[in-house]
Amino acid sequence: MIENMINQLKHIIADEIDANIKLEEIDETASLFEDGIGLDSMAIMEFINLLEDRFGFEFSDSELNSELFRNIKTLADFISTKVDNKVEPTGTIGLK
Amino acid sequence: MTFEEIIGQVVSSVHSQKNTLTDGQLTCSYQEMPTVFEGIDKYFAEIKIGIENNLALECVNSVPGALTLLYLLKKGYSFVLLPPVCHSGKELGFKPLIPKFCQYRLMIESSLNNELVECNRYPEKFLRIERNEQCNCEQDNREDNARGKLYLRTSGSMGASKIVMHSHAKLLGNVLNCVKRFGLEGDDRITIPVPIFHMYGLGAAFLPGIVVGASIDLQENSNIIRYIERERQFNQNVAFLTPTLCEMLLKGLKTSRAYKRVVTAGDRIKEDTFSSFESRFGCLLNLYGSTEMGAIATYDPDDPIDVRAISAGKPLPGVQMRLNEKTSETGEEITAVGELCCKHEYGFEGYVDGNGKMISQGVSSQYDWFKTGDLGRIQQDGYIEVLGRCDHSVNRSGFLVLFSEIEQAMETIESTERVVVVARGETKRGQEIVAFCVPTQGTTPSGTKIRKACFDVLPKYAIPDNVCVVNSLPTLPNGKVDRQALVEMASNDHARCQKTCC
Repeated sequence: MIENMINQLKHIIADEIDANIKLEEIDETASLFEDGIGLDSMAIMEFINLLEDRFGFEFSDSELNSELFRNIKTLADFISTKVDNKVEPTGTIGLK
Repeated sequence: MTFEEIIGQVVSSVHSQKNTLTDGQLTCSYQEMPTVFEGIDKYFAEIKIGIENNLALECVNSVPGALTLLYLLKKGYSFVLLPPVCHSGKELGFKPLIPKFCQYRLMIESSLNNELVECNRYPEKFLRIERNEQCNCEQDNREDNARGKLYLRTSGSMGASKIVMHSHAKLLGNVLNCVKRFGLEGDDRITIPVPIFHMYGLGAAFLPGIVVGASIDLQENSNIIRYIERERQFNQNVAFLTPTLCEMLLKGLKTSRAYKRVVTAGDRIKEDTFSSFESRFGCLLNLYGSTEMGAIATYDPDDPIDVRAISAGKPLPGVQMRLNEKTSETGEEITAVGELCCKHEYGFEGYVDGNGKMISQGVSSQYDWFKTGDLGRIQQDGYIEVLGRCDHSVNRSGFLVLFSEIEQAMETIESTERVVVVARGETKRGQEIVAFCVPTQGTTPSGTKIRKACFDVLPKYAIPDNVCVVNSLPTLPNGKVDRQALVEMASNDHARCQKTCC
């Protein structure tokens, strides 16, 4: 389950965000920012919007924190719980 | 007043002593600043750096960077302010150009232990100094009038970057103008996520904050997550942003804020972004300025929002504006449009070359008008309206067409989020217009479709000849759109542009 979520997030970054990051370069334990995968401020914003659309929830201001956005793994854990708690997600789960 | 006097006052004032300068990792109160300055004094003495030397400071938005910068201003050093070499690590090909007239290169160490106490006594821990091998040492014994200068590089969005020379004294005049117009006070908590090595971050945000002794939060590589986290700790009431950062907060923050003041500068801000931003976060002021002139025009916070959303405000004290008329009409407009020219009491001294030699005089002679390169109007009540860059306009079928007007009109088309227009070769009607469009998220419009929609929002002579749909726009190190790269894309990359015909 969580592996699946990690893969989905990797695909979103590689295929949908315009940040020139290749799928095989993405390490789920590396930082999302300049000291890791290298998402800049625009790409992070795009990523957040895509996640919200795809999984049908919104991050609250307090959920936008560096603990949760430490790496793809922590983010996947969080989204899994969010999605599990929803009876029917409003967004489409899965790849496009 | 000089920077030395003002900084001296502010570090000893009971009102500001407890206020702090922070970057999220390190914090330094105004009271502690003199100790840091003494430390740098000693360090400089050891290396034998003196006031006769020219320095190059590669500055980051950090406490050590800001304190070094303040020290150099306080002591009256002549120095070049540069971005750090690996700023954001993404700027390939962006090499530091340490001018030959600088004897030393000062670099700020980025990772530090959280002990500023140590930094106070041992500046060598945060400041790395190297001799500039390329230095042309003939400049060592320059005349006194070459002291107390600040050199900045222009962004180069219009071609080659230039070195702009300011005097500390006039820079301070510029800073005080901003303090007054923005209504900054010692109790303010100012957040600065824009680089302090540019005129905007330095002259309009950081130094005005220091002059009033306000608490300042410097953010390097800001993004929505860092902004929110830092805000939780710092709780700012004033923010200096760019249109991109305004949009980031609009999209990213779910709750509203009641900021006393938000200033934005750089690119134009979309009208609807302006009004939704203001309704959620508080009073937003557009600032118009340049590396050469510093702050040229902005608003009074008391100006009504419908006025603030459109133009760039009124000239600051000591600034005169006039128009070099390009043409008396654009389409059906009656108000004169032309290149905005400016005389500024606190403007730059001139451009210098790599040896520090003056290439051309600034406006210090008081006779010359500085051509801003911006196209605009001056309204009867004195408000300045900036329409775009002069070279961002073409003549088509006898009409003056401003790229900014095409861009604004095309951004009202539902499927376009952002539009940038450039000119390419000639057509029968005049220069060929190419529009690059970033589609609204979730839409995949074709160039042909967007071009068709242009007929509803633009006069015929202004319809782009080509519409290219792109995922994102190339940017310069300062975040502005790299139009030169787009012109190249338009010329070389025919295949990617979806050619459309009338």
